[in-house]
Amino acid sequence: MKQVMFRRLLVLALLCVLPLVSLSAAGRAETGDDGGEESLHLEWAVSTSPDTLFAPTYFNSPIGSGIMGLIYDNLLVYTGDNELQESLAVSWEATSPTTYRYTVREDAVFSDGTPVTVEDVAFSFRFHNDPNLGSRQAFLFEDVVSVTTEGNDVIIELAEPDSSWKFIPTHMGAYILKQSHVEANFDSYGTPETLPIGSGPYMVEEFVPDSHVSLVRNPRYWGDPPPFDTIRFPVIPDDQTRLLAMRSGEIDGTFNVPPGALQQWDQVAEIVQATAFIFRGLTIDMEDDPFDNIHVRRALYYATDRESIVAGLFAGTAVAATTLDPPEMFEGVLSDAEVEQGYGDLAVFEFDLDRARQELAQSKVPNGFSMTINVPDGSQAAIDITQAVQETWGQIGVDVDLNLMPGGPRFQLILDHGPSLGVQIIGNLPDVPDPAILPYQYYHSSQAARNGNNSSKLKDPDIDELLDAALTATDPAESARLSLQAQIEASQQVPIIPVLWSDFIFAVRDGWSMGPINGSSVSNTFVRAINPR
Amino acid sequence: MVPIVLFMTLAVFLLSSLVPGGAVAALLEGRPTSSAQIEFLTAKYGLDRPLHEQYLSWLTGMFRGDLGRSFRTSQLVTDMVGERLGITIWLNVMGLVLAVAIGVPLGVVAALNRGSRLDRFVVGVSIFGSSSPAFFVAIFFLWLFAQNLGWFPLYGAGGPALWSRLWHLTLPGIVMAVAPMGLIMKVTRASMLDEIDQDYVAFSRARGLRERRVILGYGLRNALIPILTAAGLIFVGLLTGTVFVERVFGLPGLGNMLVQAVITSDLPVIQGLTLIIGTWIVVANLIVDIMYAVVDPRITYDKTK
Repeated sequence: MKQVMFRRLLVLALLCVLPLVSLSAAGRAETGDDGGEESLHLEWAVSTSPDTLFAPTYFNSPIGSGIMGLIYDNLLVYTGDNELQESLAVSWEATSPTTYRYTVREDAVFSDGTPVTVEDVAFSFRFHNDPNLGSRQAFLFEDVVSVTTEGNDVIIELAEPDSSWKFIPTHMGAYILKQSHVEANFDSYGTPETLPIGSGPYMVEEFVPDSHVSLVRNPRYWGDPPPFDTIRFPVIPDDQTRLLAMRSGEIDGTFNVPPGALQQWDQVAEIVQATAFIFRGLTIDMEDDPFDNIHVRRALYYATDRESIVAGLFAGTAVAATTLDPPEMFEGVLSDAEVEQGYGDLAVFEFDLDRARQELAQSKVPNGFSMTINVPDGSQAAIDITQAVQETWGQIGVDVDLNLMPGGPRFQLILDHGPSLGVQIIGNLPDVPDPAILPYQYYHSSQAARNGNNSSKLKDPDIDELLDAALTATDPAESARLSLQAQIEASQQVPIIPVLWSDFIFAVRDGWSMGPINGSSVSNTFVRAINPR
Repeated sequence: MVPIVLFMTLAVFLLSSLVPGGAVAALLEGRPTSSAQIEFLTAKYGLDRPLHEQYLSWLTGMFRGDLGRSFRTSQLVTDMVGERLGITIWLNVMGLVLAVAIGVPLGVVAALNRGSRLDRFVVGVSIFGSSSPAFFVAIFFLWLFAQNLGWFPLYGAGGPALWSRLWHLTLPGIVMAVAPMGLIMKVTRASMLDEIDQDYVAFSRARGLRERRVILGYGLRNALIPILTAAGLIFVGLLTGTVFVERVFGLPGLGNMLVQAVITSDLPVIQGLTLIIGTWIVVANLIVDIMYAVVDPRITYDKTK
């Protein structure tokens, strides 16, 4: 009797499972059908969903700007070869150190068929400075005092010369918006409720947050059509799933290759490095005991094994940093000899535990001390770096406790600029390839206050003067020279421990290639850099 | 039920508000900013108002069906929840149904074959299932059934068509079921072992009743109370597992949304999800209580007693 019962229960269990197997067999055929459109369709995985498809409510990232750069157009674009190129503007010139004139092309239309007017362009540049809109791109436009139109020209007047300005029209903050559409739908613009209308080569077909963004070619685009008819950005947050999807050919590429798994990715895809000038390092509060003592700061720098961090954790996709800007930032602006000389003058304290102990012995904490580093829990790179530091600093008697925190509250600590910021792990990249940007954020005394980024609290009038001059210099070489000099002078005081410079790492289907591309050109139609074979 | 859910929303609101820093800092992501911008965003989201005003404002909106807009995505929270709720319910219900549909029969079989190889096999499977880490099961199933066998897609929730949804959500549903299935098997086996040793089972057999009726009609029915309790707890606990399964399978469900909301201190979304999850838990417990009475008529909820 028991055997009869068993057989019946077994049949019942199988009945539950069999429909699932039959479902799966049918699904495979569906995949095959979809796969037939591969030549014209691009399936490009992203690790997180863009918050919105509207730059004022979103910060720059390869994911957000990569997608939005296909929908919106810019006056100028930044090419993969590091050159500025006209796009929606047919020409441009700086008529004075503070005046820029852009002539807008007449044949451009938005994807809904309405023409792109100079008023739309002017609106797109005025918009961010409206205090009632709270645009997150506002910091790019702080110097703009007026935006006027004259015929087909848009004239932008700055309060003072700005070394970064020439790059701003390529930035996602300067996407050209359709004024009437934005004004009518501001609260929901760029959400599934109100899909954006741009004049770029693609238009949004569907945006399902946390699932995918689907784009189709914009038939009204003024320029050369890009290589793919349709593009879909599926959101695949898990690194392993993304790798399996790449291996199985379900995706054609991704913006998100974890450095720790580079070898695995290299076996299934072509790896592409896009220069991005990403800086990671540790700031040290120079007013906080015991970090107010330079011997302590030097000791921590000596005890930081930057080369091992780079080799062990970033698999050759990063290099040990010696300051905020990497030397590549100065390419084409300063001579190689000048760059080499400048970087040679930086104070660099290579990993040496004996010298670290000697420095510590000269401080008032010769036997070491205990401290806490707050680590943003959403950044694997920050976690990896601080764990490595915890290990080597412990060897000189500095016991580090890592306090994992959500990114928002952790960054709020920096913005609050309380009395004891201690050591903070930072990661940042300049919004445009201007060597003055990061030094200003991290070394200028105006940023060593509430809502500023200078968490080492470096306050040096000489450095301020250099940075102010760098930001307002109209000659790019002069600006670069001043910025480099500011970093040299700051390095003597050890306000930060530079750890590494890294790039964006992308992957494309085996047999395809991608390039030239860099961190800035991602936001300007990155798909043009993909060469399917 | 309503007071419990409201209390939960109040408690979560206060806890979220006590976290230093918060939404505006999370939105800024470490980028250059100005005090004016921070003040603007703080005022825009009402974060400069006293806590009780903020909560009452949310509460008033809730009763009007307006849960506000997400700080991060600018979307209406009701839309965000509406888009994702179906997927999460599907995963959880499927996980529970599979766990019960497979776990209960196997638990019964193991109990009826106590000490046999089959029993040891089922016990082994239940231990393996209930102790396998979700990330291992998810990745292994993905590798085996999606990549190598190609039976299921690797990621995504599919299109709106039922067929597409079934195809995409079946494997995640199975992964959701693995650990609870092990637990259900164990509970069913233990409960059935208790029951089949009872005198009433021996008497039933002595009366010449069919074995099927003895086991299913009497033994299993009496064993159902602890199974129901376990199933209720599992249904609530599955929500936690959803977070991981949604992440691995790239599914836009409530789990992923909750993680993002907490990371970015997105208060309207946290509050909206607390409301949904609180209701979910209360309803699940209510259903279990009703099922107790259905399974065992001796259990009543008479207010006069």
